[in-house]
Amino acid sequence: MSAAPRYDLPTEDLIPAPSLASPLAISGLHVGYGARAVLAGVDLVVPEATVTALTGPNGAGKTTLVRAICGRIAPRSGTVTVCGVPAAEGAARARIGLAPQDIALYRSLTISENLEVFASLAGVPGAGVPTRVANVMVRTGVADRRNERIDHLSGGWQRRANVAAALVGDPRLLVLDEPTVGVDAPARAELAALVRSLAAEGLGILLVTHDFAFAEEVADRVAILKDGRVALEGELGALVAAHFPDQRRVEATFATPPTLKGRQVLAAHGLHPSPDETAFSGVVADTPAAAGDLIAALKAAGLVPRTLALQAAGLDALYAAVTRKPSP
Amino acid sequence: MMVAIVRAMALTLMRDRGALLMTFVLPPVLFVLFAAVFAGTGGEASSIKVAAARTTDAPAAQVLLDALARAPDVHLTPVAPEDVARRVADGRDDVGLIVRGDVAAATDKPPLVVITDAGRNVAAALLAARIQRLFTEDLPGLAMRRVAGQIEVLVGPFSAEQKARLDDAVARAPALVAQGGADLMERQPLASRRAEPGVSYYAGAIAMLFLLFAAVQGAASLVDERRSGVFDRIVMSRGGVLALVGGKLLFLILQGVALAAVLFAVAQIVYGVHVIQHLGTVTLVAAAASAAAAGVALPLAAMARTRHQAQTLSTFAVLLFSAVGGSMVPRFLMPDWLQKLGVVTPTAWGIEAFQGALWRGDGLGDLALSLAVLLGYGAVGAGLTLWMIRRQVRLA
Repeated sequence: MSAAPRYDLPTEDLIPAPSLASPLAISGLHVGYGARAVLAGVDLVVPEATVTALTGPNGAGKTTLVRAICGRIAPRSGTVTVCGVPAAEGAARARIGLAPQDIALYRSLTISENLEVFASLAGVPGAGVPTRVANVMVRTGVADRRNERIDHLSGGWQRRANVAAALVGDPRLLVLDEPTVGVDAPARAELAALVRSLAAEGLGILLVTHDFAFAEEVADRVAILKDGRVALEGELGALVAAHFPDQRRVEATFATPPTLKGRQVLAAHGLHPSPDETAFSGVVADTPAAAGDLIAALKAAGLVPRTLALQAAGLDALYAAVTRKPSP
Repeated sequence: MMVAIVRAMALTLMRDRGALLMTFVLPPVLFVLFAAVFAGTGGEASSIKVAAARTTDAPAAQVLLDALARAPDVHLTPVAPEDVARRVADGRDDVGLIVRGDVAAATDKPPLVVITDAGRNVAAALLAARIQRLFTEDLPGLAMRRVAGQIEVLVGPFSAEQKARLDDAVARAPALVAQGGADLMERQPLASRRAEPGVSYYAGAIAMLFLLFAAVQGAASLVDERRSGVFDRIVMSRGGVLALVGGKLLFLILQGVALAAVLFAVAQIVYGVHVIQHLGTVTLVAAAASAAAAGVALPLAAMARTRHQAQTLSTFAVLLFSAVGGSMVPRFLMPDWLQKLGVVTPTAWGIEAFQGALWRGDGLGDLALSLAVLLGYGAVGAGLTLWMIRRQVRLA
């Protein structure tokens, strides 16, 4: 059975009411470069003590949105406030901790030297810098490596230090841009634990990522950006339940791209191809009969998948459903 | 297949305006400037500035000065005799000339006195050569009358008595030469000068060259920071763009002072240049010159998109400023138009200030103009960088 994506869910109902105290509140944000509109009415709230994962295809406007949040681009209309302060004001920037995708640290300096530099730049008084730095190093678990140069650290430790540097200004909103790039599995798990612990301290965290598994692990809420708008936003479990009731996600992989006839059979069962056409994914009804029908159809078409996985629908299914829908 | 690579590279080059500029525009521009600096192809000969006076009423004295004034490679300024040394000392003129005797007659001592600053000995040599040429080519009558007068004094008519007198004159000739009576001119170095002027000049000239190189190297960190995201982190911080630019300016000044300290320590220890004796003013000049170098380097780094672009732009600027400003060849040896162009470079002002502090022993009052111009370069450059970065990050 084909699972028609449901996009007509009124997303406004899922967006928490913005309050002045929200670490981040974006309303009706329009941003463009020349004649090109990049953001076309973004609404998004990041409450305290929550992790909101923001994802979307390349060119959807994620980088522009982060720039707008950081006050580095003037909106054509709409508002962005950080803890109630318009993002354009310096006071708003002081409440943001930004951990860019690249390791934004002086590579020949040690962790503690970097943190001292950024604490001073954040306006921490000289006498308070050692205490602030020590506190952040304990919170982020980098104290044991404090005297090691950044370029001597592994990718995972560099990521931790990158997050630590974002915290020395004592922000209320933490923006993490692709924090899992170049991080191995154990370091990734440690990073997830760190993000959760920071949210537990009360920070509002905006996690910009394409790593769905990481987002599912740490995020309370997800937002999918498409064509300059938030196409879907809410608590992940609720969104999955609302979009895929009694459905499971199915993924079939093949050693070589299937024939045209095979692709037609897969499409008839709601399975969409990956760019290289060796993986096909979609959703099927959560019943033994539906799974049996699919397997029988594959056999009949002479398709022998290398793997065939059936699992609960998650962020990747939501993402696929949203991004495959033709733009209005 | 190779054609495909050629096509790809050609298209890449054609679409990179910076690379096009570096490849096809800058080389000929540099060639023209360097040819003018080093080969005197600037359309006019380089001229030396001469402060001239006469203390004799002999008609030939004025004839000589008039002929010198007409020479295309001499810029002659008539002044009072007592002002000649002062104008050479303060650098307004490259060399001084006092006509104290009749150049068309035999004299006991040289009729011309050339006042030289040992820092510009080349200028004295050029003037001497110019005067010799005037005598042999432009004013042969003067030379002949002088030689005839000398012959008359030395030998007279060739009678028996004259022969005796000639013998006597021949006997006296060595003494006459030893006293300088046979010479046309005598050189008088400024009394207050020491003996290592070239080293003093090049200490300042090389200091300016490497202050610029060090500044562009340091400022290029701006490009690295932009690529790594450190730049984003800094401009987002409370310190912001002002802390970024101000911090870099301050660092480049401190780095420049340290560089100058090392260079001048060598100059003092190895060549005996008076650095310790003028430590205060030399330090001030080093700080101001470093600020000027930073004022050149920071906007270039802010303008560049990649480190490679920053280094190419900076190397071009450093070579240009150094050649035109006098780091490679003293400016007084350049054509007039290049000397005038050199005034817009921080290198020229830096060398002048270092020369003033190290060689002439100038005080703050004498150095005020140079220091103000150098600091102005720093302030304008930092301001321009601030403006460019604010535009780039579009901070509200």
